[in-house]
Amino acid sequence: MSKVMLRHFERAISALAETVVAERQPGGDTSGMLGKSVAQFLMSVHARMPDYLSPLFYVLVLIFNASPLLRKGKFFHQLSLGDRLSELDTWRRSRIEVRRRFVEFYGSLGVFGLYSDLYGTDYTHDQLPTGKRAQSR
Amino acid sequence: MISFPRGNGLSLDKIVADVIVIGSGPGGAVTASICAEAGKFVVMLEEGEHLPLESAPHFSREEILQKYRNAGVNIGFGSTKLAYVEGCCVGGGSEINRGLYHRISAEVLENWRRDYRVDALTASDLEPHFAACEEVAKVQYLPGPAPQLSAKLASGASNLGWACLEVPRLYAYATDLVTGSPGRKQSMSETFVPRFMKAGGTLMAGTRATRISRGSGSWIVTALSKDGKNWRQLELSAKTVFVAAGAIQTPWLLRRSGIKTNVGNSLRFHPMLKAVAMFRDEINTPDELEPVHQIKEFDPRFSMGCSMSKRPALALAMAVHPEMTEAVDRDWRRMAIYYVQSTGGTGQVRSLPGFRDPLVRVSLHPPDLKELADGLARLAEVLFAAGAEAVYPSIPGYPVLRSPADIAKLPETISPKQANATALHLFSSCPMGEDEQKCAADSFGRVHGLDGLYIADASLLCGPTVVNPQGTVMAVARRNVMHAISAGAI
Repeated sequence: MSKVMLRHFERAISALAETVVAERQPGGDTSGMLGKSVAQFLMSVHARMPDYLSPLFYVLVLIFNASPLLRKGKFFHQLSLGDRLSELDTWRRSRIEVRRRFVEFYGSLGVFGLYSDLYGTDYTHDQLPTGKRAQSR
Repeated sequence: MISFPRGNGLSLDKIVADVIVIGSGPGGAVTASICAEAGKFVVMLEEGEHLPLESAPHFSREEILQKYRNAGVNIGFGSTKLAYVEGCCVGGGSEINRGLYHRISAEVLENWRRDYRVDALTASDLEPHFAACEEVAKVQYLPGPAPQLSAKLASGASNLGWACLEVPRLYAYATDLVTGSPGRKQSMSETFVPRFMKAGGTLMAGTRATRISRGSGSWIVTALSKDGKNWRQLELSAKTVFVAAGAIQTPWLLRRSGIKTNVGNSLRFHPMLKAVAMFRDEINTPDELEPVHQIKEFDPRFSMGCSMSKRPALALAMAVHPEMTEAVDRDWRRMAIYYVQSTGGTGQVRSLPGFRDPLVRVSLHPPDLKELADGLARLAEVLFAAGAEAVYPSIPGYPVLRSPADIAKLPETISPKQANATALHLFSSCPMGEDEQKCAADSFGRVHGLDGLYIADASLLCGPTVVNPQGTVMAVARRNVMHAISAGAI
């Protein structure tokens, strides 16, 4: 894979992550940290995918990133947030199954990553050695 | 004996053992600990890392990256796609499951005995093995009231007159528990793995077996071991090898080693569909324990239960209802995830030349999909009987159900492309029994026709267990290794 394509892949994942965060938390990620964290999660998942799937997803992400070129003259990662949101919605409502599935996959993974960041400690208990008295109500 | 053929104290390139166990999940850990306690020099290989229970919160992003194979992205391909998960760490699936525990029913065992000609596999044959495993890995009921989302399912079942039970867990609860820290999960890394190491066993985490071959009087396992960012090739040999890498990885390893007879052809699983229920009151609060109720009214056709319903999981389950995004954020304490799982569907496991990961093909036939559709309708029925105000099936395009009358709107069957099924329980890819037309291994797990090579995981089970399978995997593994030791085969 060329360095240019790899850079496009990373930028597309970052833009996708920021867009998923913006969909769920409008105006809630002013520092951009949530988007970066979700992007890192998506990259980590991609790195661990079955080896026959990761090239496929790599190509799909590049196609997704290039898809607005004809209509808007820009890659997905170069679009404004509003345009990215409408692009994501176009894919979500597409009649082509692979486009719907693509958004479903990255959308749900991104939301899972985001909610893990926001609420992942909701249910964390300190582990106690067996038999030790638990905290009283 | 461990040899250092290159004279380099840091390099373990060749290892000679009495027994090699590949995989450290429930089957592998039980097998390895018993062999080590019998005085054998045992090496247990595990592809994943050796991590403490506390390394990540349960069902968190971190846990998925640390302990799930392929970060949880595993797909069974076919007309219906099936997402499945496997553990990939010391302890295997026992580290990532909820530890719900059952002994398998006598009826299921009888079917296996009859259909696969398995010797000595009655409930009474397995009883001492269940009991012995339960001595090491504690099985306990909740020390107090069930969590509300679990009690809701029980109340719905009670209102309908359906059989429902509280399922014990592989868990040692803290004494006098009221709330707060619940105790210790009895996963393999907490129970059989420490026992194995105490008995002198050698655990090699971060080591992936890639091939098994026959040497002069012994088996040779070729493996890759993580060495920082690099992989180092190892060669291990032993008279006896137990393959316990799980229902997907075991047939993958055997097939790429040229052992293919009845291997990887008969994968079975418990396909699962989920639905989110919204209640009037708050039933999903952070300080409660994990849900434990299951409805057994329709066994063995399908059963129902409660899922972990943390907010990340809820958001995931509701992803097919994007119009409900704000409701999840606002009302998550009133929402919980429930599931129905059946026993239908078959699959195959194949190794792909040039690729590391196995290819899994699955088939859910029309009767299987109809059964799941019936199960989903019954799940909605019980949730409304429990007081749900709305039920959201986690299937793309499915309607929101707002009253019991809406259940009639559900399709009579599920279209193969639409089914959003997952599977946590996988088995039967290398079934045991004396019927050599169907079985990869004999009644005690020895691969047919190959002395010294055994299978010791869920692959051996002849079909769906109907219940959570970990207890059965452990008991069958113990039964088989005890048989091999008493027969002098090890």
